Amino acid sequence: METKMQIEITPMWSVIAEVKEKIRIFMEGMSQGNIDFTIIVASELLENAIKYGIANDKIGSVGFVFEIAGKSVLVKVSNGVNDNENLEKFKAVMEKIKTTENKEGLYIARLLEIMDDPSKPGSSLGLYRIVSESKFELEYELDNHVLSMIATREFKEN
Amino acid sequence: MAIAGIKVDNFEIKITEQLDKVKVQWLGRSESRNPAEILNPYFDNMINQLNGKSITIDYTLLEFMNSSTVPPIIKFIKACSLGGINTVVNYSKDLEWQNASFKPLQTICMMLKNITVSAV
Repeated sequence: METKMQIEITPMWSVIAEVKEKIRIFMEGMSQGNIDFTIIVASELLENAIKYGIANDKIGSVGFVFEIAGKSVLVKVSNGVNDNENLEKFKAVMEKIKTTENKEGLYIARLLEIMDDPSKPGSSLGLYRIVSESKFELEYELDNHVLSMIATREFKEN
Repeated sequence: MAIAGIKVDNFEIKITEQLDKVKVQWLGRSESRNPAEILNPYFDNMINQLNGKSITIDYTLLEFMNSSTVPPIIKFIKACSLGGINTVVNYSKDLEWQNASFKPLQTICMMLKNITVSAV
């Protein structure tokens, strides 16, 4: 199976459900687990783009790419960013993800922090969830105030 | 007074009470931008009504939750533990996403009193 969807999304929360439904249709025939994990990843990335992304002169909406090639799945979400403290925190989280072998340990450590102080917001939880629960590889590209998050996974079976 | 359920968009919490046992069943999809806004006050209120009762939190029919749903879940379970409320948390062993999502929760809940998390 090979398919690709590339769309520009208005950064509105209600659009996420529509994209999830499109993915479900595109992945018809694959296992329910594969579909669920892919939807979780797409949802987390789109939520972050809508929550934290900005429109700038390079990108005015949220870019979304979804590709299936055999058992490989790619989800790419792009949005505008500012140079600010949040971007630096994001880079630090991504560095931790990249350099830590035990992704589940990272996620559990974050859950323990939330348990210790539930009043703190669950920031970065979605990124840890992508690499820990859904077992996707996660990378980012930052080019001229456009942030692209790229999540990939080669499933063992369809 | 009976504990009320809650329904928001595609997401619902259904309550079933039998004597001193309360079942808190999660249904549908928790995908709103800020679930804590609704869930935290709802569970804070529920905790006050659970005195002397035991509860089962049933996620087996939950179809989806975003990561923003996790902190209110943890907050509620911790409040149950601290309140001495015997709590069983069930998730579906047949759903891969639930296994992946709730096993880490099971791990962190091992250090809490009165809480049992199981795949059923």
